[in-house]
Amino acid sequence: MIDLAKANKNLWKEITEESGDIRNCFNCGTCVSGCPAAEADPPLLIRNLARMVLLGLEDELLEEGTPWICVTCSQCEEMCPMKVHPFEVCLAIRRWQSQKDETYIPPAVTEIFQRGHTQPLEKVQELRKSVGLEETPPTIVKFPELLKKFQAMLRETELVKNNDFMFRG
Amino acid sequence: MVVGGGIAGIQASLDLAESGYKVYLVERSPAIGGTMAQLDKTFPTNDCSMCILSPKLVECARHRNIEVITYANVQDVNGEPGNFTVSVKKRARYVNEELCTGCGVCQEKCPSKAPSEFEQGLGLRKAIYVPYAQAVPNVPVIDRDICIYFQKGKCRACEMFCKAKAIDFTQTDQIVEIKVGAIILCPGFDEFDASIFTNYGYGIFPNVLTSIQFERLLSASGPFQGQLIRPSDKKPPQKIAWIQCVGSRDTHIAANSYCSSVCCTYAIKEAMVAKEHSSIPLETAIFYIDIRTHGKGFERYYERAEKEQGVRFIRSRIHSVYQDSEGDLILRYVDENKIKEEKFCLLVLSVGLRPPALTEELAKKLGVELNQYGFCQAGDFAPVTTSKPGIFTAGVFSGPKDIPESVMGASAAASEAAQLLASSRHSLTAEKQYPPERDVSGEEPRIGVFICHCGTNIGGVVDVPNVREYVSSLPSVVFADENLFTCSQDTQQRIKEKIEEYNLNRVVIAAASPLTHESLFQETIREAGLNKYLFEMVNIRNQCSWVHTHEPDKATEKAKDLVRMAVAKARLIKPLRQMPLEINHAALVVGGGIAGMTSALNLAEQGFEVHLVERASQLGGIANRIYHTIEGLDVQAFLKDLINKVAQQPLIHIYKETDILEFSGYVGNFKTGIMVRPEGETREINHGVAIIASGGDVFKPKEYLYGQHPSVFTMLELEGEIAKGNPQVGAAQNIVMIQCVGSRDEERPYCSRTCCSKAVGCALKLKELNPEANIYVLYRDIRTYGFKEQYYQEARAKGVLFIPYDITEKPKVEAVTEDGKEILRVNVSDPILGMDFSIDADVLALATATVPSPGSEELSRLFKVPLNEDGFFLEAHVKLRPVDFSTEGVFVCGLAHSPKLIEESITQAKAAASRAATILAKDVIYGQGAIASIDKEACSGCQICIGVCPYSAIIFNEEDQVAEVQELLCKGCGNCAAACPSGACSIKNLANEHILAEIEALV
Repeated sequence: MIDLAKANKNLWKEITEESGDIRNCFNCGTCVSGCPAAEADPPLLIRNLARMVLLGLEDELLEEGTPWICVTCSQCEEMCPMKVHPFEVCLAIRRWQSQKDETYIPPAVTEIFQRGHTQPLEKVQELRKSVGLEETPPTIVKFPELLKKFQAMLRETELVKNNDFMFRG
Repeated sequence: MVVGGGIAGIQASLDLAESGYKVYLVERSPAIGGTMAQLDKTFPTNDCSMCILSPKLVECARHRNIEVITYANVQDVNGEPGNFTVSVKKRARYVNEELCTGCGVCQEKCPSKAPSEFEQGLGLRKAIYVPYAQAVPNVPVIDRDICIYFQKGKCRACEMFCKAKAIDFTQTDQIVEIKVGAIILCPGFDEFDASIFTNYGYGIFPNVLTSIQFERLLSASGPFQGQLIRPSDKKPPQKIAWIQCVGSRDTHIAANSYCSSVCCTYAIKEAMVAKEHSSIPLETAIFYIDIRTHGKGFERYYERAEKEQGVRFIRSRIHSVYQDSEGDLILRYVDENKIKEEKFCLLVLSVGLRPPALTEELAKKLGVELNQYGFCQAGDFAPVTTSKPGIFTAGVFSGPKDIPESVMGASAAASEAAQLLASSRHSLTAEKQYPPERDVSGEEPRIGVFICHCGTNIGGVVDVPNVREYVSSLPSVVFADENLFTCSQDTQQRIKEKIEEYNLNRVVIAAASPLTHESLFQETIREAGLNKYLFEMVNIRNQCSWVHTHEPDKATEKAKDLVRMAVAKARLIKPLRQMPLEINHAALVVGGGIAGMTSALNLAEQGFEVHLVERASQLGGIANRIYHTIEGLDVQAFLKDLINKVAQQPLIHIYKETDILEFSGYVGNFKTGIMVRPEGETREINHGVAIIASGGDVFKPKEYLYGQHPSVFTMLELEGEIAKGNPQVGAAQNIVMIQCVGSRDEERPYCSRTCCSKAVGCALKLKELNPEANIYVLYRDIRTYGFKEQYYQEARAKGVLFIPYDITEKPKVEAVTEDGKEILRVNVSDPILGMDFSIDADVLALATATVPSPGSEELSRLFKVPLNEDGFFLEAHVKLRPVDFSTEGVFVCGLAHSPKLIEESITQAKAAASRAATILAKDVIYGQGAIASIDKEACSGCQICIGVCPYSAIIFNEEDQVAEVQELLCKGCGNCAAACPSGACSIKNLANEHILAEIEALV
C-alpha cells in the first residue's frame, strides 16, 4: 500500500525541468502500443513511467531499470495525442535516476560500453541469418578497431573513470 | 430560413411550418436528408435510419408552408432581426424540377461515372444523379465536371431518353433574394479526414474504412446491398476492429482537442449491427480511451454489446496499423501491460465530427462568431442562440451531438424564431387544400396493392415479384405494384396516379411498420381524393423479412398470407369521419425548475397563456443547489434573472406549493385539478397542452461513509460548500472524488451524464482556491464529452490526478484513528500500475447519481404517460420525438426525461415549447376516425366498457341506460370492444366482421 498523500508531488518538476507537458497524459496507451521495447522482459511501459512521475512515486521509479532499454526510436513521440513527449520523459527519467544516486550505474551503460548499444545481438543474428544477411549487423560491433577507439573515449568520462571495475573491455 | 437540410434543419422547418410560419429550407447538396440518410441503423434502438427519416423528408417536401431549395448556397445576408434579406445562389441543376418525374432513365443511360459522395467513394454514381434512392427532391443534377457533353460537347444521352423533356443544358446559376424574419443555421458537419493519420493506413490499405463508409457498407441500399463484405476481396470478414477517437481528443496530429461525443455509441452500434448482418460468426473489438455512453439508454446498450453480444472493449489507443499479404490488418496494442498483436480482416476508424467546410466564410458574412474549434459560438445559457440577433443554430454546428440532441436543438431554435416572429404568425402560411372526397358508397371494392422492396430490407428475403403476381389474382384486386421504396416521394406520386388510372377505392400497402409510415400513405390517398381510412397496411418487413431472414421461401409465403388477409379486410372497410377539436390556447407546465420556467417563458413570449405549477415553495428546482457550470458560468445569477422574467411575464400564472390532483381530457382540451397547499384551495385549469418538467433528484448513497463522517459530501454539497466559502473545503490539502456513485451499477445501470463534468468543474474551483491542494478523482471512464474535454485537460494540466478504478474493485473508505488523530482513509487499486494506494482525505466528495424525482410515478399515473426502466419519463421515440409523449399534447423536458446539464435542459425545454406551439398555434385539430362505436340496441348497460377505457372516453347515458362513446376522446384502442359481453361495442373498420374476414382468408 502506497500512501499517495505522502508521495513527492513535485517529482514531475524535478524530472521534466518543469515542462508541464507530462501532465497532459490521459493514459491512452498509444506510446506503449507503438514501442518496440514494450516487448522486452520486463517491458518498457512508458505510460506507466509517466504515471509514476505524475503520482510522485519516487522510490518505485528509482528502482525502474526499464527506461534504459528505450531504443530512442521516437515512435511514442510521433503519435502521442496529448504531446506528452514520452520519449523526452524517458530520457529525463534516466538523467534523474543517474543524478539522484551517484553510485547508480544502469546496466545499459555497461552494455553500451561493450557493444555500442543496448540491444542484445543474439535475436538479431538469428533473424539476419534467416533472411540471408550477414549475422553481425553493421554496427560498431563489426569493427573491433573502432569499438576499441569508442571504449577509449568512454574511459575519459567521469562515470567510467570512477567505476572502472565495471568496464572491462 | 433554415440553412441546412439534415435532420436538424428538417425538424426546425417542420416545427415552424406547423406553428404558422412560412419556411425556406436551403440545402447545399442536391437533396435534403444530411448525414442521417447515410446511416444504416441508429442507436440505441437499432431502428433503420432511412425508415424513420424518410417520412420526415417526404413530410418536408409536401408541407404547404415549406419551400425546399436544394443545390443552393446562402451568399449574403442583410438586414436585421425580423427583416433579413438573404441572397441564395441556386446552382444550375440542368434538370427542370417542374418537369422531372424522377423516373431515373437518365441515370441509367448516362455513360459517365464518378465515385459517389453519398456512398463515400465505395460506389459509383453517374454524371447525372440523385444522391440516393429516397432523395427529396427526387430530381437529379448534372455534374458538369464529368458530364461528357459539358466536357467534350457531345453525348446528350440523358436528354434523348428523358420522356418528360426535363433536361435543360442551358440552365445557369440563379441568385434569388428572399425576405425572412429569422435564420436558423444547421449546416451539419464534415467527418474528420482520416488520411491525415497515415499510420492507420486510411486511403492506403483497402480494408481500412471510416465509420461513415462502414455505415454505407452495412446499409441495404449501400454499395454492397447490405452484405457484410470487405472491399479488397469481397469476402465476409471474420474479425473487425474499431479505433476510437480518430481526429478527436488529439491535440497533436489531428489538432482537435474536443471529444466528438457520438463515436463511442456509434461504434458499439456498428459492432452489434455487423454481428447481426454477418453471414458467418463475427468477432468485434473496440479500441478506446474512455467509453462515453452518456446518453439516455446508452449505458445499457454498451452493457448489452459487451455481455450479450460479446463485443470486446480494449482500453488501448492504437499507434499504427500494418497490412499483411492477405490484406488483413495487424493491430498492436497494450492490454494489462502486455503487448499483443492481433489480426483483423477489416478496420473501422471512428472519425470525429468537424465544423463543415466553408462555414467560416458563411459565418463571417453573417456576422456569426465561431468558437476556438470553428463551431458556432452559442450564447451563455442560450444554447441555440448565435452572437447575431435573429440568427439561431441547431444540430452539430454548435458542437458535436447525436440525433436526438440535434432534433431537440432544432425544435429549440424553432421556438426562438417563433418567439421573435410571434406577431407575424399565420401571416404567410396557407391552409392545406385537399380535393373533395370521392363518394365510394355503392361501388364494388376496387383494391390497389403496393408492395415494397424497402431496398433489400424486404426484397432481399421476400420474393416481392412473386408476391405481386400472387396478389394480382386475389378477388377485388384490380392493380398490384412493387416499389423499391414505397415511402419515397416519387412513389407517392405513383400511388396517386394509379388510384386515378384504375379508379381504386381501397389501397393496401405491404411495406414497413404502420407506426412510422401509415400516416404518410393515408395522406397520399387523401390527396388522391380517397377517404384516408380506405387503407390497410401490412408489415411484411418486421413480420416477414426481418424475423424469417434465413427462410426466404417461408417468408414469401407468409407475406402472401398477410397481404391476402389485408385484402379480405379491405373489401369491407368504409370511409370514416374525424371529429374536429377546438384548441384551448393555454399551456400547463408541471415543475418550476429551469426547464419548466424556460418552457413557460418561451410559450408566453410566443403569446400563449401558461399555468406554471411548482410543488415547492420557491421556483428554481435543483438549480437552487448548483452554483457554477464547468465553463464557470454563474448559475445563481442566471436563475435569479430567469425567475424574475417569469414572475414579470403577465401571461404566466405561477402556482407554488401546489400539487396536481387530477388530469383529464385530450389534446387541445385538458383539465387539470390542482391544490394550492397554503390556502388549501383546489382549482381547475383548462389547457390545450401540458409539459412535464418535474425535474430530478440527487441520489443519497449509503456507502463510502456518507452521512456518517463529517468530511464526506455529495458532489453537489461540495459545490455548495465551495460557493459558501466553507474554510474546511477551501483549506483542504487532500481532496478525493469518487465518480459513478450509484450510477452504472446493478441497481442503476445508467450513466448520470453530468457527474464527470461536475467533478472536473469542482476540481478546477478547488485548484483556484488552493493551487497546492492534492485532488484525486477516482473514475471509471471520464465522460467530459464535446467541448467539455478542454476542462478535463485543464484539470490535468493543473495537476488534478485521475486514477481509474474497476467496478469489481471499488475504492474503500474507512475512518481510522492513528496516533490519536481521526483519519478518513480512501484505498484504491490502480489497474494501470497494478499498485494499491491509500489517500488520507480531508474532504471526500461523491459524484452521486441523478435519480428521478420522487413525484414521477404519481405524475406518470395521473397523466397516463410512461416511465422507462430507470424511472425517467419515456418519450414517444428516443431518436426523432425526444420531447413528445405518445399521448398527444403532452411533452417532457429537463431532468424528468433523463440526467442532463443545464444548457441541455434549456434546449430541451425550448424544444418542448416549440412542439407545444405546433398545437397551440392551431384553432382546430382533428380527432381519430377509427374509434369505438356502441350499438344502442345491443347495449345491456353493464358499464364494463367504462371501467376498461384508459381514456375515460365512455360515459353512461342514464336516460337510455346505455353506454356512449365520446368521439373526441376515443383513441380506438379496442379495450371496450374486447370487454363488451353483449357484442354491442366495436371499433370502426375493425369490427368482428373485419377480423373474421381476415381469419377466413388465412385458414
